[in-house]
Amino acid sequence: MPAKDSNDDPVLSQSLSVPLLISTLILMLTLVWSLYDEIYSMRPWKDYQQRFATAYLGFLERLRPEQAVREDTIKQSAAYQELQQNYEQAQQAAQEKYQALTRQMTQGVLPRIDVVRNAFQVLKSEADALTYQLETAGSDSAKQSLQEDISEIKARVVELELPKDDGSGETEHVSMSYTELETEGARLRDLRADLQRQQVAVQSPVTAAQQSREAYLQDQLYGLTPAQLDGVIARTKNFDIGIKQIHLADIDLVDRCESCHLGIREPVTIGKADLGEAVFAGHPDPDLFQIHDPEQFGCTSCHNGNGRATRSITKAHGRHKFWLWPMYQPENVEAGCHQCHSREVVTEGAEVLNAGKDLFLNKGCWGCHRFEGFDRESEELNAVRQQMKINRDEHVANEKERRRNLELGDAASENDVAQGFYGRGEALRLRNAKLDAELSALQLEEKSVSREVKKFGPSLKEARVKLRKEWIPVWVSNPHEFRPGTKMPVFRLNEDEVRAISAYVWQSGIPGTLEQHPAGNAERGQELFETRGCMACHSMGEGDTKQGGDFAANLTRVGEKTSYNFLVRWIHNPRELTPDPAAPADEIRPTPIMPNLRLSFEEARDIASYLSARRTDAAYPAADFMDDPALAQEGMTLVRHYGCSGCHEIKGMENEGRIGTELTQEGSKPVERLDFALFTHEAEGEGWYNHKGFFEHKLKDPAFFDEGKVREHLEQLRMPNFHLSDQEINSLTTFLLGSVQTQFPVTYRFEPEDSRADVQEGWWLVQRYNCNGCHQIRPGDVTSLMNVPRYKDPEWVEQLPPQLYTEGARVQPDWLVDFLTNPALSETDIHRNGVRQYLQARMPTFYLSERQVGKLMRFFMARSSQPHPFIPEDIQPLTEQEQTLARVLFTGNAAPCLKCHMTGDPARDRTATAPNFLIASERLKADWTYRWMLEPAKIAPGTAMPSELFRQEGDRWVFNGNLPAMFNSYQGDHAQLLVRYMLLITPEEVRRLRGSGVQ
Amino acid sequence: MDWHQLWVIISLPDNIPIIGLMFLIPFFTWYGLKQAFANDRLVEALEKDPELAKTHHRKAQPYKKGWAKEVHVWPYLLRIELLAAIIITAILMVWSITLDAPLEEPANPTLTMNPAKAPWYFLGLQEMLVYFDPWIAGVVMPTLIIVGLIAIPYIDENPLGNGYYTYKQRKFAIWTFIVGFIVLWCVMIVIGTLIRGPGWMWFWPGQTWDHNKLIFEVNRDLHEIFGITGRWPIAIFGGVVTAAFVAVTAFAVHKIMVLNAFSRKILDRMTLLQYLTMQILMITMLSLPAKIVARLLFRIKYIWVTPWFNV
Amino acid sequence: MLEKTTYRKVLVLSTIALFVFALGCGGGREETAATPEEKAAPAAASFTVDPATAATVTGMIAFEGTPPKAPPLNMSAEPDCAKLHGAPVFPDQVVVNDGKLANVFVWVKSGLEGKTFAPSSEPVHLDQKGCLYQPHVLGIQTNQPLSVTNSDSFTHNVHPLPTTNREFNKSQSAGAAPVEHAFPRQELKIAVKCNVHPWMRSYINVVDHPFFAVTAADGSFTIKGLPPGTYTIEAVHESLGNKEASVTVGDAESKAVDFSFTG
Repeated sequence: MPAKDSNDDPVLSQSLSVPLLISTLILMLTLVWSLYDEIYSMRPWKDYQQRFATAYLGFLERLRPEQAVREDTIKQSAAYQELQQNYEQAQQAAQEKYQALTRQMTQGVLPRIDVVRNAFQVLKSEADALTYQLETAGSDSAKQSLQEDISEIKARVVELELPKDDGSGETEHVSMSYTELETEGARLRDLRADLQRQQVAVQSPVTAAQQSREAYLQDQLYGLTPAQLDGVIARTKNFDIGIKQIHLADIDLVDRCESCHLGIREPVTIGKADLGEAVFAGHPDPDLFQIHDPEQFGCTSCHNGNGRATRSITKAHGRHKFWLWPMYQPENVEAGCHQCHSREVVTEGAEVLNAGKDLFLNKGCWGCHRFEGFDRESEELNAVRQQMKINRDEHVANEKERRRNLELGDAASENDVAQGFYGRGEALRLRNAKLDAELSALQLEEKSVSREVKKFGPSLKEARVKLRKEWIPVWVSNPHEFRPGTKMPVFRLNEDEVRAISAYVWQSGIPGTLEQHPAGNAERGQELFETRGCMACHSMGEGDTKQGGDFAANLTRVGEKTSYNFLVRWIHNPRELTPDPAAPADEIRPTPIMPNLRLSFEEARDIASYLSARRTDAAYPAADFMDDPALAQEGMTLVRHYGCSGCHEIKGMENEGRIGTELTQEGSKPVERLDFALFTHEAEGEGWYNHKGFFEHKLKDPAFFDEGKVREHLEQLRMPNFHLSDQEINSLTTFLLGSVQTQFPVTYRFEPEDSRADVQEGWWLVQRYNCNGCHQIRPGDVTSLMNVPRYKDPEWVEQLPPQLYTEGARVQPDWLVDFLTNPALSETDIHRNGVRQYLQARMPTFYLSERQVGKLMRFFMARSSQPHPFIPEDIQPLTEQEQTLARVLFTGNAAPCLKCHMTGDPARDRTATAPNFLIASERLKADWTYRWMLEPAKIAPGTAMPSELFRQEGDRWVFNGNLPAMFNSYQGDHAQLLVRYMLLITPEEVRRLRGSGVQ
Repeated sequence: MDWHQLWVIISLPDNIPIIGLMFLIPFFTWYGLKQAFANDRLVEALEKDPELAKTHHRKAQPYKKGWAKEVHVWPYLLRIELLAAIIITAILMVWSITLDAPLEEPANPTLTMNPAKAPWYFLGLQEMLVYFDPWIAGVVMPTLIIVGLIAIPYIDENPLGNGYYTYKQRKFAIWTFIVGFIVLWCVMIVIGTLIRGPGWMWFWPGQTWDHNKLIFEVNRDLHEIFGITGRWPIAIFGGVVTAAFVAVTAFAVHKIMVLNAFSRKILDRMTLLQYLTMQILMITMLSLPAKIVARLLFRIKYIWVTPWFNV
Repeated sequence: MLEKTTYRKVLVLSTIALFVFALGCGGGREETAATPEEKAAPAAASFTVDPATAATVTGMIAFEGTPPKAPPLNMSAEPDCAKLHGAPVFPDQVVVNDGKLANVFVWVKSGLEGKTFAPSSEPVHLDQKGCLYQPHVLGIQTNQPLSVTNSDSFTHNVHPLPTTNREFNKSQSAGAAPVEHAFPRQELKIAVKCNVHPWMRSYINVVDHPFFAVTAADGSFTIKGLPPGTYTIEAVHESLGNKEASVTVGDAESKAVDFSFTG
């Protein structure tokens, strides 16, 4: 800005108005900008809410006519019309009486009450005022005069124009005194109350009819009624824009998610596309809100993300470097369940998470990585032993203290002092007696628990008697080549390591001899293998020809590795272990998971011969090096290094620790602590520098993060490769992501003390022993056996093991305990099923500990929400007549009971196809049996037991078919009769049945 | 050349001031000096002109004959300050709108961030820690800096050159400022911000800040080079060397002081106390570059190692 | 990672910081990904065949080789049944009369895509007589009523074992009302069994159009009222498997398609 004349002093002449103006304008602009930023840029949800309001309104208005049409069709229906008529009739019936009552009330009683009350009030207030003066008056004379005034008032008579109380509307002229007014008032109040009662009574049939009509409408119409919709529409029309937030004071959680996700909790179900934007969709699983009310749990507590942030999607979803709880990706959303459901191995509805936990359990991850809850048996065992030690120490200390007291007592000069010492000594002795009792209890528990401890993999102490020597190095070098999909992972071993490890395994095996068995019939063996239930856990065949379950080994090539005699022993009784002469006497060896199918030696031989023939003609190089002790020594250090003893029982390593890191809270480990090695920057660039990315890459290829590192072979990452499928990886990732240190108080976590805890406990056993390889426990379960083609054949469907949806309601707890302990239900005749002897598949003996049996029993009872303990209702005994009736019905042609059900008569039971009802009395619960007979399909879909055996007749069920004449006189419930007959059956009755049964 | 890395660093909200500083400080220094030289030339011209020299006159540019020799603060100064204030406010507004406070994750006592950096204005101090024993870098130096800043007006009593930009009257002060503030303080802040990566290691701009980077670096104490052992010999040796450094620097500073008549005059005016204080401050200040050189070029950790303190 | 917007903002700010009079514009917001999906197309109206152009496919199913000799049914569990039949009864699996195979279900497997046919309201009958099902193989249209009757003097239970349709198992005592049912989905070879008399077996074939037939005792079948076109005809036998043949029929044309199974 040049001066006007270069000779003027710029400091004086130069005007700054222009720069001042401009800069001021800029300042103004920035001010405006800051306001805009404050109001819009920083509050994007406002825009969302406007968009939602319009879109939602449109949606509702599209929806309303559809619902209206539906409602009309229902209203046209005969049933509704009838209800409507009932309503109108009731109304008409009531109308007259009701109107009369109302008239009397409005024109008679109420106005009369007013007049009386007013008149009475005037007198009363005057009297009250005087009474006060009387109370406070000084002299007796004053009191005297006041008293007179009061009685004067009370005596005064007032003239009133009173409306008649009959509601005629006429008035009457009456004169009343104070007391009369009082009584009249009381009378009228009673009258009013009485009239109101009458009104209600008269109106009640009307309201009842109306309610039943509305109930019908609600019941018939899916979704909201037009009336309700109008409510929603009205609400949406004047939608108030503002932060929608959930605040949970106790955990200081503030979730504003619903400021943008506005459809989440709407009463109308909103699809992803319904409002044009997915952000406005309703929650995909609204039923969850029944048990996880957002008002109680918020959103981020399950989904993660930054509930407070409202400035951008990135911030709100916590997809931000510095937000430690980024929102779970859709495929991992169930990770959020674990932090509160960490006690469960099966969480209803969280199938991905469950799959993850199942993998962690049944791929043996816990062999190397500690995870709270997995392999708790061994931890409990340690706890018990610890307690026992404490116990013993205290015992010794007490004993010492006691001796000292006695000595002091002996030495004491005074008698009473001596007595004191002796007394203390005595107390200590008693204390020790108590300790002894505790100790023996603990010893029992120790015994019980030590029976439960299991290693994940097979015991290598058996290697020598079990395995083919040359096979071991082949297997160790790459198990997945020999047996695709096996649980044994592929370790990063070089040739020498393979040789050394094999040598150690071979030489550490217990040298033992097996009983020699003659060859069996392989054909029968195959039949048995496929029908006895082996395939519930084991699979046969590879690729597309694969059949059977994945819980245990695939036996396609088992003949190449296992010796025949071992197979026989193993199949006959897996709990029979090769005795180790070198082992200490009190050694407790972990037992294998494989249960005992109670097969005869003959059957065992047949199966073994079949399995021994499962082999290819693969050549195995000789492996003499495996006898080299020096090599074995090397092998031992390697076996330690690679943590083999985490899964296998190995001689000399019974008490090795785990080599992996604990994963219980891996999900909340700072991401900086996850070793991305040389991939840190790549990961940051590609956006997988987070837990999800780490887990997924690690699981896909455990050696991944060694890439590019220069390391000694033994310094490399040790985790072996499990060759997991992408789906499995996702499940495990979900599980690990969820394994966090929860910030929630106990009240939020699902750690019930009641019977629900039994359910949680039970699932661990169910998963551990693969109960659902044979049994369906949850609706929709598909067991391994169901997938075996043989069981798809109509001849075989009924050969599937029973469904256990309502097992707890069906059987009595005590019986269940006996059954689980000994499924043969017999000490002598053990090669059979206790209940369903017609089933080829056999319920095995799992040698469960008392604790486990109890847990399982309570699990089933709790799942069918049965009271515990169970007190059976006593069944009303049958009269002679009922007895005969029942027997006739039971054995007659009409009711085919005996056609299928066993009676214990060997001749008939061969063709029987249903359980032995002679054990019903100790096995079944009466109420369940009743429901079962009425509608079996409701309890066990696809059962052989037909429905519609009974038809309802009034309030009783009668047999659905032509009955003998003698029934005409019987008025009782036929199903009930049969239940009582079965549950009260006596031995002589049984004999009679066997006689008459077959005809 | 890792452009992404470079961009991440310079775009970090915390680093914006430093980026600004890198350009603004040189600019304003240059601008100030420009004015100073102009004024000095003016003064010279005026002194040559006897009749003007007789009268009082304005020493600051712009000036022409006949112009007012003094102008009032209001409105001539204040209106300019107002303008400046407005502009600065505007900048701050925009800044606060566009850049959020650089918040990070909740502090985790079990996890230290790497690199762990002080606020930008302290990064100079943090950088000093590399060269000095924490006691000196963290306590002595900062104290001396503050004390020194307080002391300046008591050391420099020269009334000339007040109230206007001049180089002639303030050569010594200006150079001290340029060395002490710009070179030592600002440059170290810039280093601490842009150059120091994970593990406080030296990364040239555009190098990837790799947490796995390892560098081989043996830092020896001076006496180790000379193979002196034993507690006392080391202490004495270190003391001697340090003393020598002090002597040399003091001498150098003195030489500068007596370089020309003007500064000699100033020196004469100084009391002994003033002189000593100034010397101490100057020596301490100059010990920093000395130490930087020793450290970065010769990988020398400590010069003077004693049981109580290290220098 | 820092947000993209922050980068833009940083850019803005640095320019402003350097050139005081530069004006900036900043602040942005990510957009939501909203992908509206189109609604499903309405169901097509049911197709009616013009009787003038309706074509017919007839055929004969032969059986080569010797029919397998199955052991007679063991009805001992239900003596009344045994009484009903004088001679021992043989299963109806492979019924061959002089080289012709009965009880084969023949249907139009493909060629009718995109056409939907209204189900016939005419019920299909399945009778239980002498512990046997009459007929042994039957075809039925989706949603066409099936009526199962019991002509025996004792109780049976009707238990079809479908895989895609819904399974049911109803007891039917002598002289009880017929069991009514309709299968909503197409499914071949639904085995029907009676748990009381395990040897009883019948196969229901549910097809979503009316163009099917079951070969008579002489092995012949006729599919009437076909709209002209090219079709794949399939012959389905419970134990001998399936055979396919392709046929093209013009207006009111009648073609013969023969199959032959080997034992």
